[in-house]
Amino acid sequence: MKKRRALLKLAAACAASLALCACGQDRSLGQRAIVKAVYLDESGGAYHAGLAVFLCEPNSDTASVQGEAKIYTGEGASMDEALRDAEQKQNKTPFYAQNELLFLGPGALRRDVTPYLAYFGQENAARPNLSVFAVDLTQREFSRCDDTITDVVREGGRIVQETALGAGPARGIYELAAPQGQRADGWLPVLSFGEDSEDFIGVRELVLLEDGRAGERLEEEAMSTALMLAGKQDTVSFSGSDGGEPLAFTTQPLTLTHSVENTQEGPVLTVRAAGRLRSVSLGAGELHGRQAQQAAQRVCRFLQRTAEALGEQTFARGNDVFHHAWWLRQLDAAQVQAMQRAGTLWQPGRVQYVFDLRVQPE
Amino acid sequence: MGRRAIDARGLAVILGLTLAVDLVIRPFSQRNGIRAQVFAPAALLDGLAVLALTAPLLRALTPAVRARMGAVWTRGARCAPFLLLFAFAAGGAAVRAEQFLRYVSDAPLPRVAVYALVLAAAFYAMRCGAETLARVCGVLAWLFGLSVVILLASNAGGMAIVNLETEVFDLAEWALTAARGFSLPAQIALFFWLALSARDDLRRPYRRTLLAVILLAMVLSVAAELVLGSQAQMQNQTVHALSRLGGISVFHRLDALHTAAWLAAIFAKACAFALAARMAAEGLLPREKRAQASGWALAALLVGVLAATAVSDRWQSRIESAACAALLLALGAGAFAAGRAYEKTKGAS
Amino acid sequence: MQEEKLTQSLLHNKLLLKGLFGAATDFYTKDVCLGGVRCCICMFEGLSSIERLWVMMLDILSHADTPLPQNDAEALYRFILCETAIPLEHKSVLTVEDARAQLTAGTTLLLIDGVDRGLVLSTQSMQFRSVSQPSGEGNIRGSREGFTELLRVNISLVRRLIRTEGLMVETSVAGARTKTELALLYDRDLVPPQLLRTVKRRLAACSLPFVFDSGYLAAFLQKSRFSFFQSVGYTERPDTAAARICEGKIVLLVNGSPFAMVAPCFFSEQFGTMDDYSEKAYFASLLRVLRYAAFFIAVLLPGAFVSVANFTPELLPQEMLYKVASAELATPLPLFAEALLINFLLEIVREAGLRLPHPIGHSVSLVSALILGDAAVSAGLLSTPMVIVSALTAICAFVVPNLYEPVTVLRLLFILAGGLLGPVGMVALFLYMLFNLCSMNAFGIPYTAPLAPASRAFLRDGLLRRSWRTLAKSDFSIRDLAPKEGEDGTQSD
Repeated sequence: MKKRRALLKLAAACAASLALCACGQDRSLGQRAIVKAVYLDESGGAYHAGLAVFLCEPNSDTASVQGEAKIYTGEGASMDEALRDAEQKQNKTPFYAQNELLFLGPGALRRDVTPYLAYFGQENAARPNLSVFAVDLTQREFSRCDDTITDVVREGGRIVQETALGAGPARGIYELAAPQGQRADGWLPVLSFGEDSEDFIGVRELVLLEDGRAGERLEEEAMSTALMLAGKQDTVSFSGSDGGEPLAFTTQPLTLTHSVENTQEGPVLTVRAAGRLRSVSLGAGELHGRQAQQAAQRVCRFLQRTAEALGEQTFARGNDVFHHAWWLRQLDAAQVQAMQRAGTLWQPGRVQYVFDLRVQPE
Repeated sequence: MGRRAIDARGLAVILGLTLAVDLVIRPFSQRNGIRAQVFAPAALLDGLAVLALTAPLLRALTPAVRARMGAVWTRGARCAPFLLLFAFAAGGAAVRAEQFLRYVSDAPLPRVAVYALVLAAAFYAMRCGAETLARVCGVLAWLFGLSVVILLASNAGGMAIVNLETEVFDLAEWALTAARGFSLPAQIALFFWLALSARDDLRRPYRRTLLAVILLAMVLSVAAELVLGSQAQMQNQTVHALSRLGGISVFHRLDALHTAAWLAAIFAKACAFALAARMAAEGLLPREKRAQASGWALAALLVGVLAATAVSDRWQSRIESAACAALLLALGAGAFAAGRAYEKTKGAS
Repeated sequence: MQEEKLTQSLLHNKLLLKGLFGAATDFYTKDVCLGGVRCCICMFEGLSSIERLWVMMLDILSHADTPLPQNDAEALYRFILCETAIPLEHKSVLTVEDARAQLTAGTTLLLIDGVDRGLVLSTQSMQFRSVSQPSGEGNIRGSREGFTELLRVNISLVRRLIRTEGLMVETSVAGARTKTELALLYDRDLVPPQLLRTVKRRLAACSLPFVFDSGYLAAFLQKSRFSFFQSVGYTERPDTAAARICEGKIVLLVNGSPFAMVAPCFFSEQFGTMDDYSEKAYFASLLRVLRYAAFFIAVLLPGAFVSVANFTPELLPQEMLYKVASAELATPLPLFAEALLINFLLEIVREAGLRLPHPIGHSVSLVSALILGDAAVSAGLLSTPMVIVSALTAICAFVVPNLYEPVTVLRLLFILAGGLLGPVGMVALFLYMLFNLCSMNAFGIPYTAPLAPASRAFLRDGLLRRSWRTLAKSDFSIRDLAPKEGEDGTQSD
């Protein structure tokens, strides 16, 4: 009798669990649309969304299966509406959990990226950490990138992975989110791509954000130096000209140190990058020996000028993209806070850049 | 049914695991909102305060006193408030587990299914005994520790010292934060209740466990801010947000693994309270009905779940703290009285 | 009838025995006359050797200097017992039950008219499988001997390895119909007395109609509460049995079974082999970790795969996600049902391979590889990821063959839990399994020792194995794993 009661209880519990577990719900992976990139832009008072969805052909022998991307677009009065409109252009349940890429179009960059970052920064089961990229394509141009979007997503993923390993320009949404009531500052990588498979796919410039809006662009040595100062990469390379004369160099991993000292004008931060040059040339070929040492001095001056220019574009305007104020606060937080309130903190002379690069010994 | 004896190390493991899981699966109505520079020392102060407040009780509960108290305090009407507290705490654990699952899942299970699973696990645990629970918690503590290590390691690349919010240190802010955040979790009462059946020294395992939990709280708080910066304060589930960010090799979303380890720990927390509730029910019931103690305890757990769904996290924490404080005071008074009686007997003999 | 004593009447004794064994054609009796006294030789053909018997009889008759006593039954009895060199059992047969026991053990009974006792001649010559390599428990180094079906041979195999006086062998009988002989082997200096008493008590209380294998007795030696795991183990190897005896455990040998039962047996021991102690410590440790990993893969992988694919697919790497998604689209069954089907089929294949005669055994591998593995995938009935997961699971299960039964059942349960309830179901079932494991005591010692509760033995010779220099510094016996004195202990066992 006891055993029968126990069995009945067990059966009832199992039946209840099965009945209530919503196991009838279709969770099949094949019925999900795997979203790998989200595009958002705004113009004319409306939001424009684009979803790069990877579809899989049925194939029980999966040796040659690869996801092929397709772009679905939508519009709406809010981001939610626009995304939902795009989702409904196909018949599967969207699956965002592996989406790592957020593309912000020119309209969003012109107006204010803060609402986009706030929307995607919400904790939500379906939206993991996104890496944010600026793109120069409108929604229409984006929708024509069906042929290249697979490569774009792949390249975007590679950049994100590289950044996770310590050498890449990707920016996570958590890095950009501003405190409540403030607009986003910082910088975004610009991911270049087009509808033609011949078009370059990758990051060749950064765009500075000030008060949520896109500002100046950084290319070549400015971009490389900015990434190094931001801690996103530890090498700098350049191939171009300096004052009309050709200059090319690549550094080995550099060590970045910050030191703060108090002066009459207040605290001053010295940012010092030290390391070795892997190669340097002044146009005629790679230099060695004494010539290389002299060229190294020139490289240091070049980088110093670049960094100072960056400082004028950012710190001097109150856009502390390299967190210099954090270092200054370590010396005297109260003083720095007071200077911030008085507006005397953001001066170009507040931060000094020193590059100490040596040539690799023979 | 198992006999109740358990060693102090096992008790400490149960205490450590059940406290640690509350650091990773946080109450939903309490946003962190405090920067690590203030939170970490406040957590240290709160932890030391708990140690200080419970020190006299710990000192008084010598093995001889526990032996005397065990026979008295685990029988009769004295068990009733313990039963209520443990049932409520177990219900709270079940509710928090369900809320967390609903929060992190794309398509969550029905609420009743989750409660049913938690209660089923708790019921089975009741019948297995305290020593089994200690062994299970030992294994789960390893899994939990591994999860924390992987969490920190996978997020190491994303940590930047400049993300730490450093303001002018304000003693008043720190003290106020510590005062607001202070609580006496029901796990403390659970530890002392189960300790009545233990025969070895409690002090060192207890202190070490509390210090380890404090250290974990500080580390998680600092690590979260190193990765998330000011966003760490805005998260509902900060540690879960961390788990979604870190990745190892081709596995970019390890949160499912971490969630599984934490779920196991919170289930174990519910099981621990359920077991203690069963022991309290056994003490309350007359001898001829003691075999049905598990059933009565399960009924109490159901009531606990219902009660926990009816109150917010904040009130839940307050109720638990108040009840725990009252019970610890009562235990302290009992320990003091038992100690004096023991001294008298010892003196007489 | 069986307690009936023999009488002095030869005819009466013969009738008693004939009545006992009926018209059994292998029951051989021969009337002889020794020293003018009528005698009868009784034996079972096939168990006893007639040639040996006649050699002994000739020996009795050939002593010219000490002739047989004439016409005196008692004198004849004493003469054969004390003054001949015939190998006799030390105890004579007094009852019919004794006679049955001796005759079925392969001895020859010599009944003498006028004597109410029977002499037992050691003429055993039964056919049995010779000592050969055990069917399982393969090792790279170490002994190649395995137990056989004959109890005496098995005892001798262990005796050869433990040559100290501490080794004790106690025999008893089990099975009302078969009266199977059992032997308890233990080291009297190492075995915990409480353990020995418990085992003997439970064996005495066991009431089975027949015993053909040591496994029949397992249920009686363990607590009745359900568990997936057993607190007794089995081994086919004498060296393993000897090693267990040297740890203070008890080995139970059953006549007719080459599998010795070891009591108690702990969870961590399922992951160790004799090779671990012959290899270098670091490699042995690596293999042990591998076996633990294999166990958890075998139990958890299919369920975890189904749960992840259905409930938390974000955990899968990108390329794998596409493959699983496209496979799921292509096959008619949902992933969960596919997992159950494939695992069910694998069990059928395994069972078929086990029961098939050897000449056609290779057909099983052909059928399973070609049809299940290849044709079913090509036809779109099954998907490659699921087949791979199931195959990996099956291989992992074979790494720990002692735990094959619980692994198989738990695996199916985890598939159900993962498929129906997702990660919550997996966690709940994992907790259940953990509680089930941790609640077990093997004769008063935690079954999960030294893993839980954790002790130094965990790193000494549990999960990892230290070098012999460290192991040799202190002896290990199961008393080290028992709860310390002074603690009330946990559930009694």
